[in-house]
Amino acid sequence: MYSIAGIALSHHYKRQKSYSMNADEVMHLIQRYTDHTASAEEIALLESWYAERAAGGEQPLFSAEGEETDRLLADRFLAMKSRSLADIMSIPIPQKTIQMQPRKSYARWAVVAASLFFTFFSGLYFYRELIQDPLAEVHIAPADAETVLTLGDGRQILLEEASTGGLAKEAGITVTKNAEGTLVYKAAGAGAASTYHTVETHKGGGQVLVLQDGSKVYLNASSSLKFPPTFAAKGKRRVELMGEAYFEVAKDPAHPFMVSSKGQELQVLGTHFNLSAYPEDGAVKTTLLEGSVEVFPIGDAQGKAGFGQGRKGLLLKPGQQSVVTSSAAQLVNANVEEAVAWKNGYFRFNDEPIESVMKKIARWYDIEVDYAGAPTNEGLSGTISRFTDISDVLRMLEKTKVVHFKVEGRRVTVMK
Amino acid sequence: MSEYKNLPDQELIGLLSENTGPVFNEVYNRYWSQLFLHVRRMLGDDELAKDIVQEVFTNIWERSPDFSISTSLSSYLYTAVRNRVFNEIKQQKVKSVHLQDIAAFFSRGQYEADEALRYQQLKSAIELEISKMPEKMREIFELSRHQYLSHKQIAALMNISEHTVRTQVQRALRLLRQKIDLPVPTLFFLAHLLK
Repeated sequence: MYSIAGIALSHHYKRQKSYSMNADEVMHLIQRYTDHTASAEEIALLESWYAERAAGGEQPLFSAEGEETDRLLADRFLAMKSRSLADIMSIPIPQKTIQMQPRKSYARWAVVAASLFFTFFSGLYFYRELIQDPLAEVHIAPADAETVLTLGDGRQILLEEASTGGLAKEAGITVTKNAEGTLVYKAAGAGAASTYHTVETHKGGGQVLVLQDGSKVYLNASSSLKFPPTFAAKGKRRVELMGEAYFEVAKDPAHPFMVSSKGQELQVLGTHFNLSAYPEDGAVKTTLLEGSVEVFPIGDAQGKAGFGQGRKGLLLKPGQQSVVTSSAAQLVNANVEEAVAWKNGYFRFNDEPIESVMKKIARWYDIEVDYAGAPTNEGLSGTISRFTDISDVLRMLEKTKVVHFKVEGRRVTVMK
Repeated sequence: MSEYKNLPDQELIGLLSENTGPVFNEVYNRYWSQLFLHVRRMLGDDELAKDIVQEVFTNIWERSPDFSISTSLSSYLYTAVRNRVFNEIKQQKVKSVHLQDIAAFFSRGQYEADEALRYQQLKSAIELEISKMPEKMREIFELSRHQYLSHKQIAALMNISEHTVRTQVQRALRLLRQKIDLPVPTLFFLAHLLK
């Protein structure tokens, strides 16, 4: 049976120039193959060899020693099969839910996330349709990350270009960039600078910082964090956020941690939370994963949602989210996974309005968004890696059948 | 458990996140034998073959909450296994015979330029592997592919001891034997279950 297939296929063989190689060269070739850097011709040659070898030729696989041996051998293989299955199934499956205490580094998450292809969960779940895909020609990768650190004296450092190691030394601190790209502030010697540093990310970017008190901040794309390189010995630890960040605040009850952002102030003792406060978004959302935070809406000029100077805040419990707009402030039960998906390398939408979805996408890919006609009222759901091409993201959204996209250059038009 | 037996691969994979244990079990049963025999042919080492196939399945198991592929399941499995075999060859865990063989193949300079056809060749080589076994061995293998679950598998899935599973199966068999004349293949299957 196989030989028939073999003969039939052999007609398709193409003859090319021949190579003569030694063992070392073959090793390098395989290396290139496994690194995905081999040429198309090399790949074709190696895979052709592999297929031919797999077909086996004259090689006998089993010695002809009779039925009894065959039976024993088959039993041995089947025992391996069961043992192997039991081994695999004894491994606990990682859950989809977010770990409450993230341990891995941002960079490693990114690698893991990038290696995961394409996940998509929603009420409407369709396999990729190969026929008629206008997005097939669209290739927009996440924008080039560009993150700028501005020091107290106004000097600016482009973090992607900075080499690993010490970046700056100021009164009382050292700033280093570690192997994973995290910016680490450490107290060194006496003295405290009374200046501020700012880290600003752009589209497609992100930055992890460890502040001098040990608090860790994961800054999302198109965001900036202003903070003192050393926190004052007395009083509160104050930082300012524009955009979105996930905070893991080091516990220090004597020095409450304050985050000022658009529309609100927030006070914590030691906790994990996500704060999304982009200027273009209507609402400022604080999502608590662990510990406790208190949110103080600032309110608009008329003080509609303001809590005045008497300052009675919204106290969040883990799993809750505060939503602060210029006219209202409320507590809701949070979709925690959705709130921190960005940090884990995903876009995650759960019945989300198309405008909000497109804002998130536009902060990551360098695109402009247009709407043809009134956008749909239906919410969109889906999860996909942030490290994929924009066409994958748009294709996923199109599967919901409530939106379609037209892409011209960097302009994405949303259609019904 | 048998409700998954007749599902095509695509649908099966779609159910993996929902009902991980039984669905994974079916995927494993469907593909283990041919993958194992294929890697065994390529590397000539039973344990190594077992380990490589185990790695590929472990990867699916660990990713089962989000597992999704853009190709067919067989294509995913065959190429995953091929990459690992190349890795083994590279790490010279296998005799350098392969290196010479590749060099010789290259000097002949004949290759299939069409990726789809190359893949078809690999696919038929892997899928015909079982048919190339000696008859008795193949019988046992085929049986295991079409059987539902082994004691160990049932025990693992239901979180009960293997002993309990065995007792239950024996009891059921005794009942069956009293009531009906079983056709030979079924007896073979049941006997295998009792091993």
